[in-house]
Amino acid sequence: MSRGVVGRGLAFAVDGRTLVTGVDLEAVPGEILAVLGPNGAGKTTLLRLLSGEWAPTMGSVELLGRPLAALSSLELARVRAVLPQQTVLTFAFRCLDVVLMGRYAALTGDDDAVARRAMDTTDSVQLVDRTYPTLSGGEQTRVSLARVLAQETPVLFLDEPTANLDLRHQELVMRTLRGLADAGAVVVAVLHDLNVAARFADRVALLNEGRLHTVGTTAEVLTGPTIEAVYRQTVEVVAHPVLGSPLILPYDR
Amino acid sequence: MLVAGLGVVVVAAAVVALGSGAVRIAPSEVVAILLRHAGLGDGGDVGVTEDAVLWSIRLPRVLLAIGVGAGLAVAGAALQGIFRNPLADPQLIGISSGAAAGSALGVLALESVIGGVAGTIGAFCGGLVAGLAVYGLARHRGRTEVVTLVLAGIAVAAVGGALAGFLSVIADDPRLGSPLFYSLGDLGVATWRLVGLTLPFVAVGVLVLPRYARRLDLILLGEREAAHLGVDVERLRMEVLILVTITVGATVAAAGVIGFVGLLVPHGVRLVVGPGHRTVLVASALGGAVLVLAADTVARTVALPLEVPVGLLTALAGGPLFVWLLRRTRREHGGWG
Repeated sequence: MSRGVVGRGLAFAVDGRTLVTGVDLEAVPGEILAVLGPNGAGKTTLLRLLSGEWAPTMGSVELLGRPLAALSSLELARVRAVLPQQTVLTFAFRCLDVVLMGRYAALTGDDDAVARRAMDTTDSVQLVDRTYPTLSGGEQTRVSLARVLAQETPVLFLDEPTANLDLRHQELVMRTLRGLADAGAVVVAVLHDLNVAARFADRVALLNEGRLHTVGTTAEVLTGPTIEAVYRQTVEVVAHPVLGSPLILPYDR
Repeated sequence: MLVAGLGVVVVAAAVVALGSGAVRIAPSEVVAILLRHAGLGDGGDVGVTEDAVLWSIRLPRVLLAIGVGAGLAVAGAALQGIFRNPLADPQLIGISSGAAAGSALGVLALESVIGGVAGTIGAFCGGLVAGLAVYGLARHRGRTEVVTLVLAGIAVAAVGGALAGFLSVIADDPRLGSPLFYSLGDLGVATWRLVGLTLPFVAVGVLVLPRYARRLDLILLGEREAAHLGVDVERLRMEVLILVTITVGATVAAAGVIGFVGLLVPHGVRLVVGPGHRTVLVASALGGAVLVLAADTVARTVALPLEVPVGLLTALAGGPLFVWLLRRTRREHGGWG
């Protein structure tokens, strides 16, 4: 029995179009698993299947050893949190209230203190009294991430958590996720920036056309030939001059 | 603060309304009569006519106005929440008209069998059919399409309203309201019996819907987000839709279709207290009570001895007020897009 996230034989089709097929994947506590792949490869679909948002057409998912299909919405919210790509909110809630919404399923704890701590972690505590719709895209992402952290779950699914962020906040968010993983969380993140994945992820699941192309450690997967085959773009992979992690540099001959 | 203030306004408006009409009764006399009926005090030297007018005619009407206003406004606020749509309103999305048709059918088919509650039960069934039809039409691939919801509501409201008017004309039954009753409402039919048939159902909505406040807040984040955070969205929608239909059905069976209350009041309340449902639902109930009570008092006194349909007044006052609210909302956070 695994204490992490396990997907077995996952497939998902809608209107006769197969978005994901034949995916076997496991993420374990203590690691960041990056889900990578070109546009339309099925990354977001896979995240939705693993997080229980969509029921797979075939296959099954286990969270912390329990079949996902057997968990109620409330039980699920105590096990995993999800950061979607963007949260559109038309009603003018204060940011603190948005983060407190993350505490809905929580059983115990000082909700207010947890929410403020989460906002502090994502550098959004200065936004507590602003209304969410008036924030910039990057600020909204940080508040939404604070909401996800306030859920205090052992499993986190994130869909492009760094998409709208500037350099400093991108690093801040990835360091936060790294810290959560180091403390024993399972972190599964769809990332579009290969270099961010190369620096922060432990393992990479590379999707192509709805199938799992390769899964392995960052160094195993992020090689020139593999990236060129999947992304159909010539790249040069060098070692990061300071960290030694792979550094992917696209170019055209 | 706002809730306490609105509570005071409801009571004050009720005293004024009880004293207004062809027979004028001073506020002190109104209080004295009410106290006497409550078994406190001898009522002083208040005339028998005043007592009869107040206790048998005006008080049922005032209580019905309060119940109808509170019910419609709380229903509107809850619908706007579950559909994440600022345009959702019992009348706009067809529940009121469905309830009107159901109420007429219920009276014709069942009143001789089960008595006066037939209209209320028919209204509940008609409202639920209309609500589910609109919701079903707006559902597409697990999402609720905001624009389709409103368009489907307009279609269903048209059919329901036409059916109610049709039955009213064809059946020519004195137990049914006039076509005007089903389109603009009327509280002139109020009796203690009708109050007893209506307020318990309205109370269900007004007292139970606030228990959904936190989940309604979460659903405003988005259906997916609410589900991620532990809300069973479909179940929430069904439960709230049923509670709303019980509430709206009872108001329609008693007083016909009174528009604008469910749209106007929650918007006004949100402007003052923000979008959190804990306050919005309770303050909307009180605000709706004030609005309908005030509109009905004006409706029955402005052109004595004639009465103006109360729905005309809520629309006449509500339309311009709503335009003002829209402009203010746009100025403050960019409108609804």
